[in-house]
Amino acid sequence: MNTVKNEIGHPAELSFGAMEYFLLALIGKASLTSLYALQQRAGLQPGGIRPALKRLYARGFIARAESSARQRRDLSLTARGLAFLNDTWKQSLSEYPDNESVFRAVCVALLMGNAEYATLYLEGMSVGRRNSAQEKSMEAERLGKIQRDPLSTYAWTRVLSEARRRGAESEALSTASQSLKEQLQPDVGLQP
Amino acid sequence: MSDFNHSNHLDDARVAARVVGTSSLTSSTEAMPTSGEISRFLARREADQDGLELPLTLSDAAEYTDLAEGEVASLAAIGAIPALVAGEGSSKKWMFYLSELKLWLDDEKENGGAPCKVQ
Repeated sequence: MNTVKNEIGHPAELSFGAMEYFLLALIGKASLTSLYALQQRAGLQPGGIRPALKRLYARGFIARAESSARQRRDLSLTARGLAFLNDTWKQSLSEYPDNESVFRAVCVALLMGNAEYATLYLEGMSVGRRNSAQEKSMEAERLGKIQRDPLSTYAWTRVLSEARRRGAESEALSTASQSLKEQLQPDVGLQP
Repeated sequence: MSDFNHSNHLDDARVAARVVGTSSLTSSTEAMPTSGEISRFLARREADQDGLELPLTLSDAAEYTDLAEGEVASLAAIGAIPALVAGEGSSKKWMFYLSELKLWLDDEKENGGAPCKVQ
């Protein structure tokens, strides 16, 4: 028989970002209920997700069911956690500085059955990255004109690299959005 | 303190009024609720019926505590009010649980109105 442990606390401020929503959706909607499954299927290292799991426990959103037979502690969403996820998952679609968080938020939208939101979000993030890449490019151009002492060269190379990185990320996000959009389109070839 | 009830707080009541076509809370010129608003209203009503607590928005929390939104946000930011913040960047949102706000207000009364640090 499983016993459910719940550690509800009263934390002062808890930040719920892409990782927290990703974990809620993986546990509640994709049935990844062990640390092993989270590692194998979603590439999440146990050490890396510990702080987020701790926040979810503290809020009473997830619980652990102890299985005496296999000495395993399965993760599950509490009713409160599921209600929170269903009610507020769109908050996960925020602006993140890293693409990994963006892709996690996209996965949340897909697991919540809303591929259209996922596509629009990817498109929006792509445009945002492209704009900031252009800004950085202009800054790099300006810095490139400055006389090349070691420190100004250092500043120029950093900005130039950042501009290229954001441009490449924008491309990746745009390609992902386009690809997802095509998957959503009905196959026109099959239509009469 | 206002007579606040989570199950029929103002936003939901407005949406409900628009859904069922009553006009006591909504003007005739107000737009029809979006499908998102309707599904959110139905989800909240279902959660209420199931006895599940859903998070409140900053304006709900301000209404319940009789404080200005800015004050509630400031207290939440220093950890004086139990809250959580969802999302990042410009879409960051404060969320509150009514049961936790009730406990906080009870503590406030016991401590003579001084802000209490939530452990």
